[in-house]
Formats: sequence, C-alpha cells, structure tokens
Amino acid sequence: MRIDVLKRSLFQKNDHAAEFNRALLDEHAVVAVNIMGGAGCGKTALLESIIPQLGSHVCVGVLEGDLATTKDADRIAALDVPVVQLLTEGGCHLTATLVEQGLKCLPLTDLDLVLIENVGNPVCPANFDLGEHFRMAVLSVTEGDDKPAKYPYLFKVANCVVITKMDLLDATDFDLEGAAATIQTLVPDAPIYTTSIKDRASGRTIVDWLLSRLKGSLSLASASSR
Amino acid sequence: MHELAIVRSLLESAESEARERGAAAITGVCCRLGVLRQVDPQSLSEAFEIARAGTLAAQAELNVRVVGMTLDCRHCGGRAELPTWGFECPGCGSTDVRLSGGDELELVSLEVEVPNENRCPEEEPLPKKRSCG
Repeated sequence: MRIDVLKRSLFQKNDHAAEFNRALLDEHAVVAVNIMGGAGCGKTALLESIIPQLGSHVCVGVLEGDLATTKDADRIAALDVPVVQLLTEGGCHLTATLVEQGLKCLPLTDLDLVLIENVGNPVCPANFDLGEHFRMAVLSVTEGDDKPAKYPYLFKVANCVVITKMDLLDATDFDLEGAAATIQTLVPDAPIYTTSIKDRASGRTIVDWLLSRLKGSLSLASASSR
Repeated sequence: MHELAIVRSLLESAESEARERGAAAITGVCCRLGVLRQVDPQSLSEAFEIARAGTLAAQAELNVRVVGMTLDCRHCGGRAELPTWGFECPGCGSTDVRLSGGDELELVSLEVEVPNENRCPEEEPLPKKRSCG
C-alpha cells in the first residue's frame, strides 16, 4: 500500500520552534541577529568589539553556539552582558529548539537586542531558521577571497556581510574588490563592512547598522501592536 | 554531519504516518530534497541505514528525489528552474534574484504493509520500486 504524505517537511519541528522564537522576541520588542561564518573567522572578536560600542541605552544579550566548552561565553561574560552558552555536542549548527532554550534563560524583558553567534561553519547554519530577524555573514581575509563563491548560500541569505581581520590584508593575497564583487552579485542589497580588531573605530559602521535594525524593528513592533 | 538528525526526523514522520493507517511495517520511504538544503543524498541514505534499525522502517528502502532550485528575477520578472546551484537569471543575466524553491526536504510517500489489508485477488502486486513524487 502506498501512502502519499503531501509534503511533510522534515524541518517542521525546527520551523515551529523558529516561529515560536520570533513571536517571543517580537512580544518583548527584541531584535535578534544570527551571526554566521566559518570557524575562526572572528565572530566572537567581532562581538567583543561591537558590544561595548552599542551604548549604554541598548541592552544586549548573547547566545553563543559551540560544539563544546564555554570559552566564547566566558569572553562575552567579561563584557558584563547576559550570555548563554548553547552546546550542540557535535551538531554542526544551532537549531531553533536550542535557541528557544537559550532565549528562556535571557532576561528578554530587559533587552533590546539578542546576538546569536552560530557554530563556526560556513555551510549548515544557513539552512536553519532560528527565529532571528536578520542574518550577518562573517568572512575573514585569512580564509581567502574565494569563500563567497565557494559557500554562496551563506551569503545569499545574509542581510549584512562583515569582512574581518583587515589588519592582515597585506600579509595575504586576499582580493578585497573581487570578494566584494562576488558578494554583491549574491546579495545586491546587503551592505558589506570591513573591520579589524586593531582598529576599534572600524566596528562603528556595523554598530550603526545594528542600531538602525533596532529602530526599524521597534517601530514595526509598536505599529503592529496598535 | 546533520544527516543523522534529519533521517531521525524522517523516520519519526514516517512512523507517525504509518501508524495512523495501522501499518505493521514500512517497506519504502520517499523524500524530496532540494539542492539548496546542503544535504548530501548519499550521506542521507547511509544515515538512514543506521537509523532505521528498531523502527517500523527497519527493512525499508530510502528513495531520495533530488530537485533543483527556482529563481524569481526581480529585473526581468522571469522565473527559472535550475537543476543545480546558480544565482543568476538565465534569461537576462541579472543577479537580483529571489530564491523561491530548492530548500525543500520533505517526506513525500511511503510504501507500507497493513495486516489484513483487503486486497483484490486479481490485483497485481506492487512493483518493488516505484518512482515517487
């Protein structure tokens, strides 16, 4: 006997949890950004750079995704912001279910922004909706300018792209213009920012982008509640 | 790496559908996999062979039907079906495209054995393998 199932998505469980997360965040007028990129591309260093620049009027919480250890959460906790370490124990990406557990541990009523640092991996995280509002793709110059072409889906789903470790540009053969051109063909509307932890001011444009997302979403949230 | 989690979800869905219909065993599972899902069909099949043990689908074969992606071009308004990855409109060459399909991973159909199923005596036995979708 044959049973036709009518497209039962295997991501149903994840997608339901993602919708729950989005509703929970919206209810608290909190904007969430999913930060994705390969291992060692500088996602945590980027957070360390931009969180202190957000200003005291913006309350931020962080979810740190890793396979093992609380090393990243420890670094973020040193900034004196609420942080939860999400351990996938071998999983190559965060899931909405895990993020749901993390959100429940954050003081959402006090927050404006949740930054979710995904597991270091330029492939699978792009396929899992976590309930975030925006996605940031991170690429470092040490990874090589060919990565946007080799991992196009990561960039295709991004709302913003950050190229890190610009202080190492001269030590590599990274073609910045070429990489930017590839990214622009994939996501014509996404801004591309360059940054270096050696130049603190370089994170300012990313901070401004985050703040503008915050304002947009907050006005949307207040409009929808009217 | 996440193929095992996916087949567990697949088996969970398949068992749920089969039990609803009183099936004693699942002999075939067919799923539809979009190229943008970044899941390797071979790894999916290998993971299925591991994960099916102890389930209603312990003897089941997995048929993975890989489907391409769909682009909607914002520049020329055209829609294109691509068999594999591509982010450029084949009609006008614009990269200002929206992805509207290709990230599916769905359970499509099952072959099951139902005890005391009323069969017409003249009915031909089902072929062992059927195309799905």
